[in-house]
Parts: sequence; structure tokens; C-alpha cells
Amino acid sequence: MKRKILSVSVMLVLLAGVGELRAEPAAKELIEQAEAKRKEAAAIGFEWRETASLIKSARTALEGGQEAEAAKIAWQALDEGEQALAQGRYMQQNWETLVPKL
Amino acid sequence: MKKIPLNRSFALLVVLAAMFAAVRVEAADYQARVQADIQAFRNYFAAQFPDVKFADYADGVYAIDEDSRQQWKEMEEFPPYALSVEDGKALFEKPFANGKTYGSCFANGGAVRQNYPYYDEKKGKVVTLEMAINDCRVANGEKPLACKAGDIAKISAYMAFISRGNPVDVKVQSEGAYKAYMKGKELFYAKHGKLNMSCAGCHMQYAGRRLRAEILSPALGHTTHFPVYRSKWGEIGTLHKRYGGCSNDTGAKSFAPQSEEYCNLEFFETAMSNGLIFNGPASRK
Repeated sequence: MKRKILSVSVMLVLLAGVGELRAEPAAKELIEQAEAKRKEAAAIGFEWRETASLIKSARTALEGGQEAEAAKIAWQALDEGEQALAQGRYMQQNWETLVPKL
Repeated sequence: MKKIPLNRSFALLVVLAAMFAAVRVEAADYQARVQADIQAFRNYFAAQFPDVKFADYADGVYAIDEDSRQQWKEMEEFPPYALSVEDGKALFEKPFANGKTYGSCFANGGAVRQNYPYYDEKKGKVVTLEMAINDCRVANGEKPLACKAGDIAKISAYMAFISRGNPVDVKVQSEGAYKAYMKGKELFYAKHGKLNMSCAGCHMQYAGRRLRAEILSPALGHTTHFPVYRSKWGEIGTLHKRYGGCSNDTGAKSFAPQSEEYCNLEFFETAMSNGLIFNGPASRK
């Protein structure tokens, strides 16, 4: 009986730990990641138009206590930052292939 | 003075001659590469628009669409930029606080549009006309002007107007100039922004086609006629204001006017228009 209680307790602790590992990043962390990506894209001249304003909106939502809304907007900003950076890195290597050949 | 032995003098002479020749070859090589690009650029548009004369490309979109051209010709009877040119003349001639005028910086009464943009070896960057106007102001103790519209566009319009008819002749004859040219070329052809579009996409591939109600202008001749009075703006504005609008339209964050990026782009685009004549200012939709 004691072994059963112990086994169930260990399993509950493990499940709680896994659940913690699988939790979505907090909005604050997402905003920081989005800002870092935005800066990386900006450093190579490929920042997108809306990314900075999305990050600003996310910060405003977070300051207003709207964690879920802040996270949603921050995800969008992070996605833009990542796409912009990928676009920039690709174009730096491949822009000459876009010059029309006559 | 100690005499250098004849064989050493001769060796020194050979080395100096070789260095001189290397510099000359380098300059010619860069210009030849740019000339090859220019020829390819012209050939592209000649193939796209076989009925358009090369000289007409200085008129931008009006070179490739007859209806627009007729409307523009009528507008040119009372051009909307005329008042800006008058204002620009007054500003050009108005003394700074120190008593000097823009005439102290620009030769020929300001009829120097054809000298810009150029690569300044000492500064290590491309210098545009608007940048030179602001450099003149700062050199004379004045604050620089905002670079998209307003007084700088009016002064540039006046200088462009009195420079009309001069040929576009951008020179790319050093490593630094070629690097700036290539950065401008890269910006022109690379896709940017959320819509993944490039200058070349609209103004080469889709030149002559409609983007909503507007016809996309050919890139050949793009910079000859700036600054422009744009109906959409309701005022005269600079080339870099237009660049910023285009970047914005593609979903990219625009660079600042007179940034290194836009100066290099202007350098490249103007080089591609070598052989045309400067005919600014102009009016556009």
C-alpha cells in the first residue's frame, strides 16, 4: 500500500514537472525574443514595417494585465522577426540570381 | 645630395609606372563593369517596350503610356511645381545669418544637378544633391533641413530646373564607389518586406502593368526628373521620400531619407540612367 502511494506520488510530481516544461513562454519572454529578432533583422536592413508596433502593442497589453493578449501579439511579432531575418539572410546570399539575364 | 644609382632609379621608375597603371586599370575596370550593367538594363527595357525611344525614358511612366502622357503634357502648361521652383529660387538667394548664400557652395549659380549623386572619396560615401544642400547649410552655421519635402525639395527643384538638359553621367571609378554602387544594386534587386517585393519586381518585371489604378513606371530614367510634385502628396517631395513610400508599401520598414541605403540606391539608379538628361522637377500622380 505504501509503495502504491509512493509510486502515485512520484508519478504526480513527474507529471507536474512535465506540465511545467510544456507551458507556453510567458508574454514578457516572448516580447524580449521578438525584440531581439527585430533587432537582428534591422541590423541587416530587413526589418518589416509592423514589427516594432506589434511589440509596442504587446508591451501595452502586458502592462494592462492582459497576459494572453500580450502573448498572442508577441507571437505575431516574433514570427515576423524570424521571417524577416530569414528573408534577409536568403537575399544577402541570393539577390544576384534575381537580376534579369539577357 | 647623394645620387641614387642609375639601375635603382630605373627600378623605382618601373615600380611607380606599374602602380600608376594598376590604378588606371582598376578605375577602367569598375567603370566597364558598371557600363555592362547599364547596357543590360537598357536592353531589358528596349525588349519590353520596343516602340519607346531611349530619350523618352526620362519622362518616366509617361514614356510608356500614351493616355497618361497626354494628360501630363496638358498639366505641363501650368505645372504644379512652378510655385515650388519660385520659392526655391528665393530660398537659394536668401542669405544665411552669416551673410553668405547657397551660391557660396554651388558653382554656376546652382545649375549643378548633373553633378549628383557622386561618390566622395574623402567622405567615403555617396553625396546627393539634398545632402550637399544640407552640408552647405551646416558649413554656414545653419541647421540642416528635413529631407523629404518642404524647403529642401523647393531648393532642389530650383537647382534641378536651372540644370535641365544636362546629361546624366555617374562615374564609378574606385573601389569605394563600386562598393556603394553594388550595395545600391543589391537593394534594388533584393526582395524586402512582408510582401516580399523588390524595386526590380515592380519597375522592371511589372513595368507598364497596373497596380490598382496606377501604371508602374520603368526604372530606366527613374531619378532624372526628381524632385517631383506628386498629386498624392499635394506638394513637392524628394526622391528619398518616394523611396520611403515604396519601402512602406512592400511592408518593409523604410530607411531614413539620406541614409546610406537610399543614397546607394540613388547612386545605382542614376548610373543606370546614364545617357539620359536631367529634366526635373516634374509632376506625377
